[in-house]
Amino acid sequence: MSADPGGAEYGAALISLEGVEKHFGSFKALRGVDLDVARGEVVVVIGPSGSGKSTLIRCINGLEAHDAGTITVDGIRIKDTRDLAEVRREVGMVFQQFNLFPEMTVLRNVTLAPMRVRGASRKLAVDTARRLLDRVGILEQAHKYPEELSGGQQQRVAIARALAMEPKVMLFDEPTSALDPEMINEVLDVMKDLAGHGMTMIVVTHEMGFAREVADRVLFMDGGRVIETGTPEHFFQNPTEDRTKLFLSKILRH
Amino acid sequence: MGNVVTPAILHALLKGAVLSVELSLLTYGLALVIGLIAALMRRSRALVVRGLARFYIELFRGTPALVQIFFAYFATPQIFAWLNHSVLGPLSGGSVQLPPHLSPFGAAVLALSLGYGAYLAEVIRAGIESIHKGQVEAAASLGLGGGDIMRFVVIPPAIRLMIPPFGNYALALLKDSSLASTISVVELTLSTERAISYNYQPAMMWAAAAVIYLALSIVGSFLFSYLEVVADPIRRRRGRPAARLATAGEGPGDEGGSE
Repeated sequence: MSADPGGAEYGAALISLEGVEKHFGSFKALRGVDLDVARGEVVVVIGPSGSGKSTLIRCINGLEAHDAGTITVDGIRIKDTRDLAEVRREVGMVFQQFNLFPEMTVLRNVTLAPMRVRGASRKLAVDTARRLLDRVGILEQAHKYPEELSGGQQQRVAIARALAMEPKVMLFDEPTSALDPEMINEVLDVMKDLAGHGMTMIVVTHEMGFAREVADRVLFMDGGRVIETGTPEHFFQNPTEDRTKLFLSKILRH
Repeated sequence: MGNVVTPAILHALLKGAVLSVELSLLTYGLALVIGLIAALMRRSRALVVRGLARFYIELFRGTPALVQIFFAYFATPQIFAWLNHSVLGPLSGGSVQLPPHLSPFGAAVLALSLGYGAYLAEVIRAGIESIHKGQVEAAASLGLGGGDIMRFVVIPPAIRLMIPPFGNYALALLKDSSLASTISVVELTLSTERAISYNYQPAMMWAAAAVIYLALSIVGSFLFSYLEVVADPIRRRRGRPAARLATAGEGPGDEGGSE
């Protein structure tokens, strides 16, 4: 790790991908992706559907096994399932569909993993959960069940649930795409707050406002490759690649 | 009705009904265990294990319960005799022997539990497979292991989905337990037949038998409706039926406890 293209101001890379490839049958979802994410950096990944954005972050915590290349998270190289368990403890993930556990209260959703995986005492887990639920503004709903909450509230619980494992990195897979428009901002606000507190984040999203405002770096993917990467200013004001320009012209037309 | 419905006849019907319930409960319990094993085998990664489970399920779903009962009762003596003579005898020197035949009750339990195990296996498999993949992924990405994911994330909601079909098969089994009468298990149907041979009142006696089966079914049906409420965390907390039964045992009061 001598070279650090992620930007010197962030220090060493926390996540490092080299030549990562992923195939689904004959479909190549990732065709050699290189990416370094530094501690505290917020990377927003954008691109058309089917471009490999989701596959990229799903490979980082091993939900998809990559077929070639190397992925290193905090010095742990993902090779087999033992490494996976270790990596997953350090990497939080938030899904488009929230994926809360429906049979458990909000509180139990947040305390389950710390108690079962980290061996935290109930008291410690509950205290942590209450603090996190308060932080995402859901503390009053702690004893409700997921289906009693709105989508925005569920997604904030999902963020608290991931944070309860005290991850070093948070991955967001289109966290606001399944939400009604009026609920998008409450989730983005929580994410902004997280970024403001120095959390390392990789965010797949179509929210260009969020990318502009919060991202340290924007990554544009198409056809399983990283086409262009740069600061939000560079990216939105003078992108160099034609495909980036085309994509931006499509989504920023209105 | 004078001596048409004597205490002895009532007693015989009651005894028959009790045996029907015992036969059904024992069989259902075994069928659940068999079904769970078969369902897990069907989800195995090993082709042979999967194939075996599939073979068992198709075999028992595809043959009539009555044929299975006859096989268990009338065919096993011949098979056991051959096994004793040709397999167990030479292997163990005669120290391990199968019995000459199964008891009627044993044969009925064996046949019906294997038959219903095949149906319940499919119910269990469908329940497990209906759990949204995203919940499993969320659990995995929190670092939970396979056993914990099954125990905390997959099984509880899956059971909730399984309860209505479990109820269906329980009622079907109660009624199919009458097939055991054909191999001389004196359950409700056979005790009714025998009672009729004493009092010559088929209309009244078969109506009585039907009413008893119906009453048992209704009890079973209510039991499963109650289980549906218990398995649903939100309805459980609102505690409509739960609150009524709460006096008999655990309170509903710890809603939202720190569990």
